[in-house]
Amino acid sequence: MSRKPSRKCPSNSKFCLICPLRFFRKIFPAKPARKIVIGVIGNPNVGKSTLFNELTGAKQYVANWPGKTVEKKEGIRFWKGCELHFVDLPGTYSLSASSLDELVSREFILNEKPDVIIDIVDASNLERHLYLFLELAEMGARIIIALNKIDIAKAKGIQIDVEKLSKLLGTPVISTVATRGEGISRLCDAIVGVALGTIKSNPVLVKYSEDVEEAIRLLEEKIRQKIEKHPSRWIAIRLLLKDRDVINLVSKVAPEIIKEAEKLTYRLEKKYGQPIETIIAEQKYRLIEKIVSETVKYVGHPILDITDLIDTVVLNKYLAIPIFISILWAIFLFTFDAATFLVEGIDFLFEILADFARNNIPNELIASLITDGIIAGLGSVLVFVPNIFFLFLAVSFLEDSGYFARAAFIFDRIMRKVGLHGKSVIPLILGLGCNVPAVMATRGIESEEDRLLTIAVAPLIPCSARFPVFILLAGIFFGKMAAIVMLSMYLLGFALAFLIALIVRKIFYKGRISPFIVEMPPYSRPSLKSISLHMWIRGSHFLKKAGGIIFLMSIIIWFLASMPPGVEFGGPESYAGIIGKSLEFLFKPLGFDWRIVTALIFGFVAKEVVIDSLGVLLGQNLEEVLPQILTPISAYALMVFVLIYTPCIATIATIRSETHSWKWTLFVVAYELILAYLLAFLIVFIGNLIF
Amino acid sequence: MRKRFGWTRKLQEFPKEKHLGGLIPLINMPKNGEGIVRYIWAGRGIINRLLGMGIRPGAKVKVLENSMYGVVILINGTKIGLCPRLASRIYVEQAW
Amino acid sequence: MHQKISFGLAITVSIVFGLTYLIIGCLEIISAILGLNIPLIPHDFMGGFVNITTATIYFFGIKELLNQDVRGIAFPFFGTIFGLGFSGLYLLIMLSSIATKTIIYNERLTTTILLEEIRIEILLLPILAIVLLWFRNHILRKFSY
Repeated sequence: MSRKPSRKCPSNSKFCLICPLRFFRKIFPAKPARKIVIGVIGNPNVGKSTLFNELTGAKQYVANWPGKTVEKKEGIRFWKGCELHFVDLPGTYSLSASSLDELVSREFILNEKPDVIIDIVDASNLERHLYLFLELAEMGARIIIALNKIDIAKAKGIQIDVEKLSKLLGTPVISTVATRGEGISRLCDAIVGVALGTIKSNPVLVKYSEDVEEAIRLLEEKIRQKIEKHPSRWIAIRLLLKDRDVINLVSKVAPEIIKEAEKLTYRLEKKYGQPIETIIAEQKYRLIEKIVSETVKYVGHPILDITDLIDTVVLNKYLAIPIFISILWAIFLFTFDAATFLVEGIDFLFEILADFARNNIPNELIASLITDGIIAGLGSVLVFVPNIFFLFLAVSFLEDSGYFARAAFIFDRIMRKVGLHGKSVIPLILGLGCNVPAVMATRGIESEEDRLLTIAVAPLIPCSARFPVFILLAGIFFGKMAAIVMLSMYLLGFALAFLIALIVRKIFYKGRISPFIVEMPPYSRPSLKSISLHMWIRGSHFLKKAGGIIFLMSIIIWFLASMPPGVEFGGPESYAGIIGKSLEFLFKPLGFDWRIVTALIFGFVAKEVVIDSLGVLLGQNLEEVLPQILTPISAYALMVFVLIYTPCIATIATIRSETHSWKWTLFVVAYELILAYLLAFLIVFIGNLIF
Repeated sequence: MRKRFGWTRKLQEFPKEKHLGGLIPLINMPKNGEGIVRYIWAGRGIINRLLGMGIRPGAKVKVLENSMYGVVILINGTKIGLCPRLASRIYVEQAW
Repeated sequence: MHQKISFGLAITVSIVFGLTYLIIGCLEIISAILGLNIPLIPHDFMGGFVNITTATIYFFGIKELLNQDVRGIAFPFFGTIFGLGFSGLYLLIMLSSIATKTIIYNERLTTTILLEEIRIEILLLPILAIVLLWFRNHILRKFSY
């Protein structure tokens, strides 16, 4: 899906890689097609991703908006001799300058001037969605409305007069059911029609009340003289609305207009007694109400529907949290226990593979490279693949069903107290399985600050990779108290996450927290197709990032442990040993000897590797050897160190790709290292005082 | 972090001339209560977000849940959850 | 709201299932703490918690239904979905364990293995499915348009 689509492929075939036409086209290249650029926009939860996938098939390509942290999805479809180039714009409710998503969409529409904009609208909820439409209209875009979810509207007893709607709105309106792929061809026809000029798209402009129109007119005259690039009416309205971005733009060319706008706005606000945003929005909605009353009819009268029934229970004061905890438990059961068959299967296969390699490859060095390096490395990655995919499956299911919005709502109050957002609860919980999907799940958080903060503390949550380390050490050193020690690790992880969030918020963000609003979409039974698609997208993304890096690092580690040639594998003479020994002095106060240090260095790749390395460096009888080189206090300090010190490489890679900022990634790595060392030191220090 | 995004603006002064008689904040509305939104006391970014979602003066609103977690409302056919702080800043004229 | 649904039946179902889940949940927690070995009841603290939650969902519904409030039907409805979900999950886990033991470790499929892996919630599955279907057909249809 991230393969760049080829211009030469004439069809939307899913079998592009083996399509013979590609070869044919290399010899006889096709005529250059007319390129049409289409922006796809709509409210969140409207089915934009589904529609986008239907429109572009397998031919999508993910990048980022230059200079921004928002993902840019593009796709191509060939239709009637034209190359339809779709750009997925972030889902927003409006186009003000308040959030990064909105700015990105605005810049695209104004600067790149797409031929067509598809505004996806929810037929079962028309009023709210037309607000975005009116804002788009004011920007002067050529719009086509995709009236999606008409199946749900029909089920709710809503009947829409599509022709009349089209007439009143001034744009073509195409009804679609994205989940079934209905209406796609009509949509593409409309796109080509509007782009080539055969179909008219003149979106209706809101006519405001007289005094507002007067103000707009006054500004427009002055703007038209100075600014030609953008629609003057839109600029005038934005100036009245104190739009920061537009003010910046205009101040470079004609700052006096801004003062004029301020005066006019002040006058209007005084007259109406409302902030200017409300005045303008109210009048937009008045037009919307009028349009809706003429085109939408309610045939049935829903009394109570399943969503409300379920919410009565799920949002119940007392039941909400136990239900949440149960669902969490279900996710983990599904992720770990239900996948055992596949996990054991892969493990088994790899053992056979390793034995085979060991027995049949003559050259010892190469045999070692393959068995201890490649197979061991690959094995350690692939063995948790089923778990990861099951986790993504469960999460996709819950997310698509709509439960997460409710969970975020319930936990907002608690999260607020520690400086986090309600929507941070899902990423933090996911961190218990693996930190990578946790970081990826922060995409749902709108405010950049909250999102970065959540990403920064997510790695503190003990992931399943650290579990074996804890169990091993707790079992060896603490015997009967092992369970309590394990529990303390988990509690510590969460406690630290909350503490760091609180501190960062106080210091960097000066205690500001954005308020919490969440739209709760109706519960829907996610189709097998959509959840498997989501699972596949996330899973393969994870595999490529994590798998590639872990695999590479495994080879490097093998190399470090085996070289110089002839040396004992992982012994003090190997490069790995030399590195460990050289850093040993740093860790002496903690009670770690050079082999532990080396294991920790290797654990940088993936925390499970710590156990593996210890096994390699100390021999298989860890139960006997470890107590000889560690005291219980140091063991506990080691557990804490492993809990906190730097995220695993896969997580680091994910943080980097999600934040597009090396600065923040390095910050996270650095603070975790420092915190880990400090805490481990503290534990050893205080522990030695007490015991 | 840049100050652009987030609830950073100083809240406008709550206008004294605003006639608040008969208006109560959403958070004081009983469960299943209905009303019409009349005034929102919030900074620019939040007002824009609320307006885009349909929470605007003149809109009919019904309170579905009102508990310590926050308020869940039905407005314009959309179900929205609000934190208590925000719910205390949206003033509604109660309908019977 | 004056919809005709048989409140009596709903209340009975709620009480029966509520008590069943309560008992099973308590047994699971007790066996986890004390280490007792009861057939079909695994040592599962969290599983017991989940079952007690399910029981609570049913019990909450009884109060609403006694007041003749139609929305009370949401509780046994959701409770059944909830219970069904977990039963399905446990079934999946059981199948996965059995597959691991038989296919990978090549043990023979005996009744002892089956008895090791099975748990009581799985046996409730068919009953819950029937109750859910009953809900679908008789109650939810009354809410359609």
